[in-house]
Amino acid sequence: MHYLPILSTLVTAAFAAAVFNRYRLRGGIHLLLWGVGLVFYALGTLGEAVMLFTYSPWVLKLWYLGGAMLTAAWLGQGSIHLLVRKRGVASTLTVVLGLVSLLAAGLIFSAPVTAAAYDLSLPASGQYHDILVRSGLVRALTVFLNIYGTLGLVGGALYSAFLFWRKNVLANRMVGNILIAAGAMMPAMGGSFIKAGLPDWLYLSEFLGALIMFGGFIAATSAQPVKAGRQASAKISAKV
Amino acid sequence: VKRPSKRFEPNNLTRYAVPAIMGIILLSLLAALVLVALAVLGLMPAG
Repeated sequence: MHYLPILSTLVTAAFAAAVFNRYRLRGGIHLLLWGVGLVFYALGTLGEAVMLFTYSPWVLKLWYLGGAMLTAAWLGQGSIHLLVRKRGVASTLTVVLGLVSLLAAGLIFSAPVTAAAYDLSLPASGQYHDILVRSGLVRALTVFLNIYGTLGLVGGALYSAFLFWRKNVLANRMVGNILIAAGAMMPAMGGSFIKAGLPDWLYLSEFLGALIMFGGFIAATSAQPVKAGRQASAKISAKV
Repeated sequence: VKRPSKRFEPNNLTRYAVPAIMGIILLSLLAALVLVALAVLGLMPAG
């Protein structure tokens, strides 16, 4: 379990590359925002991977900013851009999120760190409380950004899956969205593992979350073999 | 020329298992929100 962040970083980086590649081919702001969210995800797991071998307060801050504060919010913002059709709403929220993210970065990189020793054999999630001094505003922003992002990403994926299920269309997108929703719940539950005194489990939840969401993305975006429509099938049958 | 159909034929898996899984994920989401709310209200130690 100790070295899982290395695998998580590889999976998340590959996932981000796949999303950016789809954005390059097809466009869509939601893909760009998901890609940004995945870069934060990868920065968070990369921070954990680096801190397996060496400690730096800047890496710890980058880990907290990327992994704990911004990942869920930017992933959720992608889903909001995809689903909220009312003109200007999603764009305005993106600008607000950008400003809040800059504020969060300023607060984290100017936050003091204590002289408490960092133990390389323990996960960062189990000891950051004692090292990184977080103000009340940082704590509040962390909670708010995670609620906003998780509701957007999990809620958006579930809503999309529900629409495909109700209409009995695009089975691959229905399955893909269910996997994305399930995968997105994993890191969210990782926070509960920390509270329950199981900080190591955060690594497992991050790895499984990235893997399941990547699987969902591949399923949702893969070309599906399509059946001919009923009337077209009937005509073909009649000819044969 | 008719467009190819994107519809799928429902079976027991899509009829029962899919909504059950979606329900479990939704309940997990609600449970996570309740935990966060408890932590914010100080009824549970915040992380």
